[in-house]
Amino acid sequence: MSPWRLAWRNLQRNRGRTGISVLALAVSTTLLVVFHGMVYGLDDLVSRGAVNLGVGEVEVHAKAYGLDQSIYATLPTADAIVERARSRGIDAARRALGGGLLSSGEKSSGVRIWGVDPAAERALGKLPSHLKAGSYLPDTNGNRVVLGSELARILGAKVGDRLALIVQAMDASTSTEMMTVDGVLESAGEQIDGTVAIIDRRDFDALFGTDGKVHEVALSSHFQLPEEQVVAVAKSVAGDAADVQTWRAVLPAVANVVDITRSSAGLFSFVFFAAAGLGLLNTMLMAATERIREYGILKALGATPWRILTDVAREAFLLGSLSACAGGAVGLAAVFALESHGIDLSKFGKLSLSGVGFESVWRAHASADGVLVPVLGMLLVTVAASLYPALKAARLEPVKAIAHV
Amino acid sequence: MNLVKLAWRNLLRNKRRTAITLVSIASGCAFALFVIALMDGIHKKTIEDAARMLAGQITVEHPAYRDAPGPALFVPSVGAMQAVASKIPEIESVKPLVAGQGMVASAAGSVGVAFLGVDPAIEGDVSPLARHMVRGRFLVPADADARGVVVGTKLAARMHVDLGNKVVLTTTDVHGEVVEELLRIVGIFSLGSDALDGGLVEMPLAVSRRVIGLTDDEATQVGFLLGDPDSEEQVIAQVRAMVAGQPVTVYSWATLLPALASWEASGTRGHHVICGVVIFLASFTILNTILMSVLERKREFAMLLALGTSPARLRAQVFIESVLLGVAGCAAGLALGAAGALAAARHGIDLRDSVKDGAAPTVGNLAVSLQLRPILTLGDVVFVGSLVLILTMVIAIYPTLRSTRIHVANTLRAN
Repeated sequence: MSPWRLAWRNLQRNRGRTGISVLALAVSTTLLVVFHGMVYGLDDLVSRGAVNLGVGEVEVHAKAYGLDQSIYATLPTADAIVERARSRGIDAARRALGGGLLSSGEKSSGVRIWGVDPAAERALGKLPSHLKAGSYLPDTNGNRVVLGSELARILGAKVGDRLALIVQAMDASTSTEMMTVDGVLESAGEQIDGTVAIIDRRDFDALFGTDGKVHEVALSSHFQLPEEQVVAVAKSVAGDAADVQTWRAVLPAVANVVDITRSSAGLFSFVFFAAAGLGLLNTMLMAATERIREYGILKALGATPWRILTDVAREAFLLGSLSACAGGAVGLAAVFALESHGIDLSKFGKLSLSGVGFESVWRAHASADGVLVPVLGMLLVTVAASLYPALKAARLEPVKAIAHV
Repeated sequence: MNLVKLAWRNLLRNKRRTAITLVSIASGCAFALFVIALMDGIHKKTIEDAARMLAGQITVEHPAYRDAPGPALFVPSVGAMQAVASKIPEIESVKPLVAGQGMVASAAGSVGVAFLGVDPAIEGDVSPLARHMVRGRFLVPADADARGVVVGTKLAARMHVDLGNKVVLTTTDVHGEVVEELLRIVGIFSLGSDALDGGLVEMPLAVSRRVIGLTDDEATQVGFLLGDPDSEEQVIAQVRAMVAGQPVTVYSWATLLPALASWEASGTRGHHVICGVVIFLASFTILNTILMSVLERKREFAMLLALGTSPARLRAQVFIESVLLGVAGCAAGLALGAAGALAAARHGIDLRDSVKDGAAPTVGNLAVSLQLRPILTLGDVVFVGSLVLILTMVIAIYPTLRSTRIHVANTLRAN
């Protein structure tokens, strides 16, 4: 009889025991697959939040822009970058950036002003449709402004209100303009909520005297291309004179959130595997102990220790594959269900991490390694847990083993 | 012999099996308890730091300030609030604050900022900001006359300013007039939050009052710091009762810092779920072990039943065996987890070097504390303990029922 068939029959000899082990393993695998799916989903939630709400997948600035964020550090290659990106199917938007003071009656607030091309922003990300009230800038300019939600609260400003925007222009003179509130953004994380005022780039030029110069180009392939490829497209035009950064570099604290989630998920999986492995070790040990007499007879009949070791390991492998696959399948089904339905987090209020808000529905994300890692891991744990009893069995002395009661 | 003793002896009959099961449950419980205490510690430390740096656990404001903060919406009598606080022993200190928005300008350009006027005499002792100075020093009472302020590293870099340099703050005063004030930088801090390091100017209370035109008895907010943050609910009720009739509203930190509150609520829930799963998996080994031992002891049970043991008694015995395993494993695990959490609380776990660029995640513009000190509460122990016990009992149902489902005569005849 083939050794595999023998292992299969051995498993069937004690159906109760096999059943319990299969159940325990399958349940653990299912939980692990669901857990991985949810963790990948959380990564998605955070990174999509960062990419869609303003930053894009990649941002390009002049090298000198850096920490100073000086209005003089403009990006001369901006137009060429946008043109090249669009020819590759990547959406791109130019932004002129500056600081200023926005005031409404006795209330005022320092703001970060984004001069944008409204149409390009609409194609790039979700911010233009992420509105609490009013509308995002129309395609024609007219001294309109869109405010972050917290900024609107601080200023007590509503759609239609007129606010004074005071800035220091390129020539160091003070420049003032009355702006009409066109819209108020929905909360998009602290990076944007409390400080950002979005105006048309033509109005920005008039106010700051930037004359069409911009400070930033944001690029997004909407997750269709790997980030490195988007970086390469921007670099091919911008060369070494510009900083081309992925959102991870622009928002290191957000990238760290993703890393921390990943590594704590790794720790949790380890604990899950260990808990399941211990249960299994018990079953395997019991099976081996129960069959000491049998092993003794086999050895007396000439079975080598290696043969016994591989027999036990084979049983474990069969048991493990069966249950891990069953558990994986159930887990995957659950992940698909959680991907289409998701868990509503809105009862916890507006969620944001590291200044970037994310959607309030947490969906699982089905992926190959989210299933393979738990399934193969569980299989490995099963075989590993069987090795100790297998070694014990293989080392038995036939006479003592046969006498074992 | 009583049932518990009998069950215990049965468990001891197979020491190794029992030991492995106990190790599994104990490590599951210990891990769960440690993680919950750790997360509690991170949440509470971050919230406590925020409360101490900003407006306390309990904040008094003008009723209309929350909806549209403006310098004209201030608390008219700080003295009255201090009198209230002095009657409540749980309140450790009172922080009058003047908060506002403005723009600071240097030769290199201008940046929008939030400014915060604090009392240097109080703040130096309570605020975490005072411990995060990287250059120069924190505010001292003499800065009130010298117009000394502290700014974040990123703001200083952006404005090309350093210690001793001057910047101009532009804001609006209580009458809606645009006002300017020349300020001198005496210290530079780094809190690990882009928004604060790049957009907060902290100045002496007297300076901020002068700029926006408030008297010495007025402030935009009055914060109460609690010695024990857990007494918040009780104290807030007391404060509300005492200020009734005055033109002020009393808030909890959770209203002022909603991002922190949602983070704590969702994080706590999330970790309870994950720990529940760990405990479930660990408890599952009980099912494995007990069911296996029931199947293994068919003959023994048949014999007992043949000799007249009532099925109920037999079931009770099996049930008690599993619950004993659960209780013993859980007790060991809770002890281990608690010891671990207390040891970590004493020594602290410093993760500051393990995140890239030291960029800690931030919540509501506040950097999450990476010096982890677990906080172990009785509630956590009760949560983990009761979860294990309930799960154990549920899990024990099937093996218990199964134990007496034997055909006595056939089983005895077999072999």
